Amino acid sequence: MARHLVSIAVVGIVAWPTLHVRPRDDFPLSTYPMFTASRGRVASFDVVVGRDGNDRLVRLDPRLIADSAEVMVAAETVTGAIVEGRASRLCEDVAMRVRRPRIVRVEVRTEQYDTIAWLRGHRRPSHVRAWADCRVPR
Amino acid sequence: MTDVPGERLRLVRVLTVGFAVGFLVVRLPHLLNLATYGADRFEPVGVLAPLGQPLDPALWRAVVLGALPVGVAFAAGRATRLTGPAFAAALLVIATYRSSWGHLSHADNLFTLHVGVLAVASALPRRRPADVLRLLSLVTVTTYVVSGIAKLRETGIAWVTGNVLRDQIAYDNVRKAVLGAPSSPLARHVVGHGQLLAVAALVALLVELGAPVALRSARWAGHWALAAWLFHLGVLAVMAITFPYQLSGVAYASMLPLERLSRRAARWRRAPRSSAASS
Repeated sequence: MARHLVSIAVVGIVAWPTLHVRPRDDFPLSTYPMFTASRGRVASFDVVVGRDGNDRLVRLDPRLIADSAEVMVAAETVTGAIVEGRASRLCEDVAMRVRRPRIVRVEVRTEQYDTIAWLRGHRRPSHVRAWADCRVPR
Repeated sequence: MTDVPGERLRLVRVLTVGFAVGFLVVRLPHLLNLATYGADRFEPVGVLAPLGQPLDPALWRAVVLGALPVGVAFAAGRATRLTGPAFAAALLVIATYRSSWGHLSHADNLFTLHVGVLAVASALPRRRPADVLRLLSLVTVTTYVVSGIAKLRETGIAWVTGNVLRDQIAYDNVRKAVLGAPSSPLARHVVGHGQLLAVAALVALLVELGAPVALRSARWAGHWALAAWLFHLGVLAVMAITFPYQLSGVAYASMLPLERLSRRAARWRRAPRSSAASS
């Protein structure tokens, strides 16, 4: 009997977040919402990019964007900075980390794509909104 | 699982806690670097939710570095009544702190919970190995069922059309690419195959919602564990998302007859010596 009660309790604890009327993700008890959102084909991405001396776009990696190897941390960092009005500060932070001589400017921006078309090679964004632009200090 | 030997529980503890220690070692630079993150990025979750600001950097580094020898001792079976709870608590704090910077790391949940179960079991004066292993398997199965419920709750039956999965694969890969991270070279081939994606979406849902079949028997457990492992392999292939605990197979260790492998390995090791002795 005690064994069954313990089993029920363990299942209840692990499933607890999903039993709420408004499930809320947390750690380590989670609703596991990965891959569940209905994204649609057209999506916006908050990014930080570099520009070289010829104004060509250079993609920056999560280490430069957020001082982290995690792409999700980079994504949340950029979105958080935009939403909270800290895009200029993030731009300057990233510019300080960029040590590549060919990158002269950094931009914080939102790019919109048809993601299926992007995978098929159509890489031009359908819409771009710039939030901050700063020079890389030398 | 009523006649499961303690040997399997010992092996599961070595593998699970060993994985957690390996996670700390591999992630050590990233974990120590969290001490340098600005307070404006701190969004505490779980047991750390009451914190108003990040941990003191020295305290954080002490917790991370201190957890390593304690974890090694727990994995090795040394003073498990002390090292088990101490390591589980440290791992909970470390993994929670890692998820307290705007992104919840869903790859860390299951091994953190498994180490917690092993720690509580190790602290109890009397325990049956079969019961502990069953609890570990229950935790595993429940996390998969919760994942399946989340898919149905968010997208309803639309999930099984494959369109939600297609858009997810495309979205995730584009996000990685525009943020300068490696994406899957297979994604652009996969998104054009609607029927394949519909089948994959249905299989994923069956693996998740059908996880309780793993509790029926050892044979069912083996089949389900293989299906779940293949599911994670598929996620890695088309989305470049790694669930190391699941992909290592350790997540399913409590369901598998590890003691047979261990005995077979022991016989194999002894065989050359006995033949050498007889010659």
